[in-house]
Amino acid sequence: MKLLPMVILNGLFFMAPLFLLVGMSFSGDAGATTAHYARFFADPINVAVLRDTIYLGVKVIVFTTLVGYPVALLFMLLGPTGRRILLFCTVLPMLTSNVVRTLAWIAILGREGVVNNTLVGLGLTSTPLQFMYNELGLIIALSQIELPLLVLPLVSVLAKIDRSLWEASTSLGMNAWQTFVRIILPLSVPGLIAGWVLVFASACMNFVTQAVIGGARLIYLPQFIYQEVNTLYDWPFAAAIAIVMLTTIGIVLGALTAVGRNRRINVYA
Amino acid sequence: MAGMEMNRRDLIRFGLLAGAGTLVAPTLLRATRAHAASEVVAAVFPGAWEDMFQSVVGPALSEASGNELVLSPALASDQLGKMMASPSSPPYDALLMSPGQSAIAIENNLIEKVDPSLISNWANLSDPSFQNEWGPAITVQLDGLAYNPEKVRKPKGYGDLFSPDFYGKVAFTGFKSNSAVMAWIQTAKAFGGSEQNLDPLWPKLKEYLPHVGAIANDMNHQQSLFQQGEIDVMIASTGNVARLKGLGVPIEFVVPEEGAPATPVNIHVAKGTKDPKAVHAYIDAVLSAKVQEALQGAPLENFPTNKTVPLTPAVAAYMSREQLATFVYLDWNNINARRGEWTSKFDEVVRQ
Amino acid sequence: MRSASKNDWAGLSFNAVVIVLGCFGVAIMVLPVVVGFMMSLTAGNTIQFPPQGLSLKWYGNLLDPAQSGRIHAAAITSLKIASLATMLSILIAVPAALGMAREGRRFAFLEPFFMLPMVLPTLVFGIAALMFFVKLGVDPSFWLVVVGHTVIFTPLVFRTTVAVVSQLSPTLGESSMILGASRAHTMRRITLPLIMPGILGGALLVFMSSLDNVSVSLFLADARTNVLPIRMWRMIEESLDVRVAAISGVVIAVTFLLVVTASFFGNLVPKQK
Repeated sequence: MKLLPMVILNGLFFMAPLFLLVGMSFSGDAGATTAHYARFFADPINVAVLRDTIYLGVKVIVFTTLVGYPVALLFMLLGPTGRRILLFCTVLPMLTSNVVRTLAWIAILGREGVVNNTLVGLGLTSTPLQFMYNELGLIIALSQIELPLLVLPLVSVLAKIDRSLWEASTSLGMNAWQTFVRIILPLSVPGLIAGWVLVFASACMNFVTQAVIGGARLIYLPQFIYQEVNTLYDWPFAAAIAIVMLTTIGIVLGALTAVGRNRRINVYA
Repeated sequence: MAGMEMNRRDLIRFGLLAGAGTLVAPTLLRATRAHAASEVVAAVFPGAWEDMFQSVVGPALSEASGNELVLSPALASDQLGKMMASPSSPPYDALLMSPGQSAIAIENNLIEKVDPSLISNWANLSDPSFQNEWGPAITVQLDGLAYNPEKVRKPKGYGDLFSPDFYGKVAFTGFKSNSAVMAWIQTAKAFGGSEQNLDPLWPKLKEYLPHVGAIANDMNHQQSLFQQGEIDVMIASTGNVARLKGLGVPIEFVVPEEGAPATPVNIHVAKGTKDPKAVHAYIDAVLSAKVQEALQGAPLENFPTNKTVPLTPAVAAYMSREQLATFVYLDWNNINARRGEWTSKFDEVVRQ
Repeated sequence: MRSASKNDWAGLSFNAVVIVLGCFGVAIMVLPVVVGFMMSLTAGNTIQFPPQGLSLKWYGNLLDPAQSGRIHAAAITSLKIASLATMLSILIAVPAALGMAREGRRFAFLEPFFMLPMVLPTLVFGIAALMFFVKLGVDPSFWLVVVGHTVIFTPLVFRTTVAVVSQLSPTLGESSMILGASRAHTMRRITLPLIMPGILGGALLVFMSSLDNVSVSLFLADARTNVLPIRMWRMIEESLDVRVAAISGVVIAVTFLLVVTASFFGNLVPKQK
C-alpha cells in the first residue's frame, strides 16, 4: 500500500507521457512503422555513440567510487565538527548552478586555465596541455557533480555500520585492509548501489556538462536527442533515440539493483 | 529538524493542500484568463531584449491600445518546441523568430498571416522584404567574424579562418545555431561549394581539425571561450560583438570577403490566438518609432526597420540602409531540407 | 582507525590511502566552487578568472531590488517550486522505500520502474509531459512545473532512502514491538529517526536539482511563471552577467550559515554511538 502513491505518480505523470513518446516513435506518414528504430541502428555511428554513452557512465562510476569511497571513509574517521565540514564540502557542488560550474571548469582546465598555468609556471611543461574537450577532463568534471550522489548515500549507510564491528574484527586479528574488504565493503553495498544508480543515470544524461566540457567532438546520445528535438524538429526520430537510450540505461540500472537485492532486506514499519 | 512529529503532520497537511491546488489551479487560471481578453502573451528573446520590451514596449502597447503585455522569455527554438507540443492551446499569442524557425512554423501550420491594415507602421518599413505576409521584420541581424585585435591579425573571411596564422585560436560550432549554419555555407562557398552543396567543406574541415582551437557546443559557449581568452577568432553577429565590446572585451567585427549573411527577426501571430486584434496592436507598437529607437540603444544596438528612425552612429558603423542589399540572404527552406543531413555529416567528421 | 595500534603498517597504509584519495575527492568537489565563488568577487564586468580586482559590487547589484527585482521574483518562484517538489517527493518516496523493504521481493520489479524518470532526458520529458497535459486539457502553469519536478526528482529520495532502509536491522523494529510499542509509534520513534540521513540527503538532492532545472520548467511553465535557472542561463548567454556567479555565492553563504547553526545538518550527521 505504501508503494501506491509512487506507483500513481509514476504511472500517471511519467508512464503516460512515456507511452505518448513510444507511440510517437512508431509513428510514420503512413501508419505505424519501425522505420525510426531501423534508421537509428542502421548507422554504425549511432550505435558507437550509444556504446560510448554507456562507457562514459561506467567510467564515471569507477572514478567517483575510487575517490568518493575514501571521502566516505574519511567521514568515518572524523569527529562531529570535521564531519560537518566534510559534509558541507560534499554538498558544495550542488550549491553552484550548472552555469557557474561550467565557467569555472573552463577557468580551471582551459588552455590558459589554473592547471595549465601552474604546470607551465612550475616548468613541468612548456606548452599547455589539453584537458578540455577530451574524455579525461569530461570524466573529472562529471565526477565533481556526481560525487555527492555517491558520497551521500554511502555516508548514510556507513554510519549505520556498528562501530563494535570494527573493534570485533580487529580483536579477531584482522588488519585494517582485511576489515575493510571483509566487513565494511560488503555491508556498504546498498549505499554503493544507490550511489552507482544515481551516478550512472545522471552521468549518462548530463547533457550540459557533456556538451560544454566535452565539446562538440565528443558525442554522446543526449546530444543527438537534443539536436533532433531542438534543431531538426524530427520528433519521432528523437523519441525513438530516447526510447533506445531509456531502455539501455534502464537495463543497466535494473542489473545494478538486482545485484543489490541479493541481500536480506527487512524493516518494521 | 527537531520535533519530527510536528514536521510530519505539517508535511502531510501541506502535501494535501498542494495536491488539491494542483487539481484546482489550472481551472482557476483558465477562468482568470478568459476575463483578461486584452492580454498579449508575447515570446521574446531573454536578457537585454526582454528588458527593453518590458520597459518600452509594454507601456507603449497599453498606451496605444489598452492591452496588457505579458512577456515570456524564450529562444526561438524553445518557442517553436512549445508551440509544436501544444498546437491546440498555443502557449503564446505572438512569436519572435528568424527565418530558420519561421519556415518550420509555417510548415507546421503554427502561425497566421498578418493583416497589414491593422498595423499603422506597416508603410514605414524601409524595405519591401520587411513587409513579410507572415509577420513583419522588426530588425535585421548581421553575421560575420569577430577577432581579438590584441592577439591576432584581422581575418579576411571564412576561408581565411583555416590559415596557419590562426592555428589553435579559432573556435567553430556545429549546425545547431542558425548563425553557424550560415557561416558553414559561406565557408563552403569559399572552397567551391554552394548553398546546396557543402561537399567541398568536409575534407577541408577534417584536415584542419588538428589545428582547431575548439569545437564549441554552441555560439554562447564560443563567446565564453573568447572572453576567457581561450580562443581569439570566431563567427559572431554584430549584436554579439557589440555586447562583448560593451563589457570591455577586446573584440572587433569583420565583414567577411565571402559576404556577410543577414537575417531578419520577425514577429508572428500564433495560430489560435484569442485576440488577433490585440496581437496586431502589439506588432504595431514594436514597429513604432519609439520602440525602434530603443531597439538601437545599448546593449542591443539592433538595426531599426522603421525608416522614420535615423540610425545611431553605433548601428551605422556596422550597417547602413544602403548596404542592406549587399548582404547575403540564404534560402531557409533549402537549409531546413538539408540541415539534418549536414548535421550528421558534421558530427561524423568532427567526432573523435 | 583504531586497528592501527594492533597492526601498524596495514592500519597506517589504509589510513594514508583513505586520506590521500579522500582529499583528492574533496578537492575535485570543492575547487570549481571556489573558483566560481572568486569569479563572483570581481570588480570587472564579466565573469573571469582570475577576477579583475576584488569587490562586492555584484552582490550589491544582485540584492538591489531596483536592478535585480525580476531576479528576486524568479528566485522566489523557484524556491517555492523546489520546496513543494521536495516535500511532495518525500511524502511519496519515503513510504515507497519503506514499503519496498517490507514487501520485499514481491514488488522488487517496481524498483527499476521507479528509477526510469532519471534516464529520460529532461527536455524530452518536458515536451512529452506538455503534450500529455495539453491532451488532458490542462494548460502549463506553476503547478504543472511542481508536478513535473516531483516526477523526475522523486527517484533521488527514493533511492537514497532505500539504501538506508535496507541497512536497518529488523531486530530493532521487532524488539520495539515486543516491548509493546504500536506500529505508528515504532515508525515515529525508531524507523524515521534512523532513516533520516537518507531522507534528508535525498531531499537535498531534489531541492538543488529542482533549483537547477531548465528543460522541464521551460515547457510546463506558463508565461507568468519565471524560474531562476532559466533567467540565469539567459543572463550568461546574453552578457556573462557576474550576478549569476553572485547568486551561487549567496546560495553557498546561506547553506554555510545553516551548517554553522547546525540545525539542518544535525540529522544528516549520524550521531556517534
